[in-house]
Amino acid sequence: MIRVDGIHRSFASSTGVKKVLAGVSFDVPDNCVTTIFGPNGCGKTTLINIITGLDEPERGEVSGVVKRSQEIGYVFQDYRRSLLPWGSVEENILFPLTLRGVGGTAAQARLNEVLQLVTLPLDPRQKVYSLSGGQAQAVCLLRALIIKPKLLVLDEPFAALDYELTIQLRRILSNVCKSLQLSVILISHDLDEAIVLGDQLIFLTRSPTTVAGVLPIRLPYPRTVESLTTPAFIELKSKALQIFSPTSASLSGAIC
Amino acid sequence: MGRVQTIIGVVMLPLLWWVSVDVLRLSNLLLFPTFGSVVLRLGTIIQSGTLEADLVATLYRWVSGFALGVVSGILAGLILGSSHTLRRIFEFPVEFFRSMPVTAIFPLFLIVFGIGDASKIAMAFLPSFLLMTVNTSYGVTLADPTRRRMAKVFGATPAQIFFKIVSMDALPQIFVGLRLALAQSLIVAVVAEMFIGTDQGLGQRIYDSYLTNSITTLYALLIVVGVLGYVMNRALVLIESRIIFWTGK
Repeated sequence: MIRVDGIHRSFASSTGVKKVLAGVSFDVPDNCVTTIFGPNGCGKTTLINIITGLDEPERGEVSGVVKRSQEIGYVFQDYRRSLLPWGSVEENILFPLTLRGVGGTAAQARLNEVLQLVTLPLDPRQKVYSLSGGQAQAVCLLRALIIKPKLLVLDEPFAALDYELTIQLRRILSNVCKSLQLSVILISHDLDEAIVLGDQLIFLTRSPTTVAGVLPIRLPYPRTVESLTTPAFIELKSKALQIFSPTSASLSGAIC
Repeated sequence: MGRVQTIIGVVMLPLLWWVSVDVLRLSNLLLFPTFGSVVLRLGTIIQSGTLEADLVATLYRWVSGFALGVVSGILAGLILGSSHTLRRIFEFPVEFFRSMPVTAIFPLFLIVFGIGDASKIAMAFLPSFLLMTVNTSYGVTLADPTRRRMAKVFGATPAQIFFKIVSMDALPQIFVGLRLALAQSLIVAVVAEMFIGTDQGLGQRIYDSYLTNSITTLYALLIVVGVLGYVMNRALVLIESRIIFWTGK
């Protein structure tokens, strides 16, 4: 289990110091998908940067991740800019292994393994600038998986994709997470997505951000587009909306 | 279609020259000779065999100065681009010399390098070096922050981020510098030959033509310089399209 415990983070701004995270705490259970839902500017990416070791908290700590760069796979929202435009599909997926000096047959074998995980057609020799949006984000996902991560972090991975591709990639992601038994943190600003992909949903308040509530999600797998219309899903969404209701007495300040 | 446009571009200037001067006689022929007479003179120069030695001498000085400037300029640019502090420190000297016409300070080059090839190569080197430094440095600062973050989160060392991400992201701007430096260093190499003097070189031949009022020869040699610059630039563009194939896609 990964424990995010009392994270505080502020940034200098033109009006002084702006407190972004004000004691964010939650657990990421093993082999579960934890989705994080919060308003724009509440510090979701800052929180992810701290969890992945790209940033340091002022107070609080993240425990349970030993060697972050070797145990965390990261999928960026801006998939085009996170890819190496001069590289092929193969070179991009293998990039984390290249950094570690892993090449040759070991790398090729691992590449073949991860290519089996997605149903999208991907030519390893194709240059990434010629890929469609869905293919490019799939390459980012496979690049994150190539290192066999203990934790997979996805920062609004479908925000720049159209709905059809989003549905397709959600299905792929859901299958991959369950088949590989991964611990996943997924940031989303789409409540349906946060529910349908998650095993627990963390709600964040506006900045200065704390955790507004945690919603366990016990929808059956496989979760498909049809899951979005089941009574269980609608009930969960109703609960989620209650958490975010500004009139909720127990969650004052959570106005999303 | 692109090839047709290139051919139109190549034919356009001689055609304009031929129509305005050869046909319509719109200029004083003592100052601007006919296109036909210049082409004939160029043929004579080529047949005489003197052009080859001049061309080789100018090419040697130009390419030597350009190449030295490129190598050292890219190195300097990579270093300056990586350090905000160094960039601030060297901003003044780089911009100071970049704004200065190199040909105006040729006495300084004479003092340091003498009247041989070294001073002419050094003069061709300076604009190349400065342009490459500025453009490479700028290219480094343009390196995509998302790609840097990506490399960092996957455990890249600072050296790996620099060589595998930053240097590659800087390449398009480096090529902008290369194209500017190629043309600038040719101009300076030719002018250096005119100012400093030499036995062989296109600049010296142009200057000799000017002194002896051989205007037709002067224009014939200017065509040679222009064609030389164009051919080298096309070669560079071809290399650029192979190396930074991903830009604009």
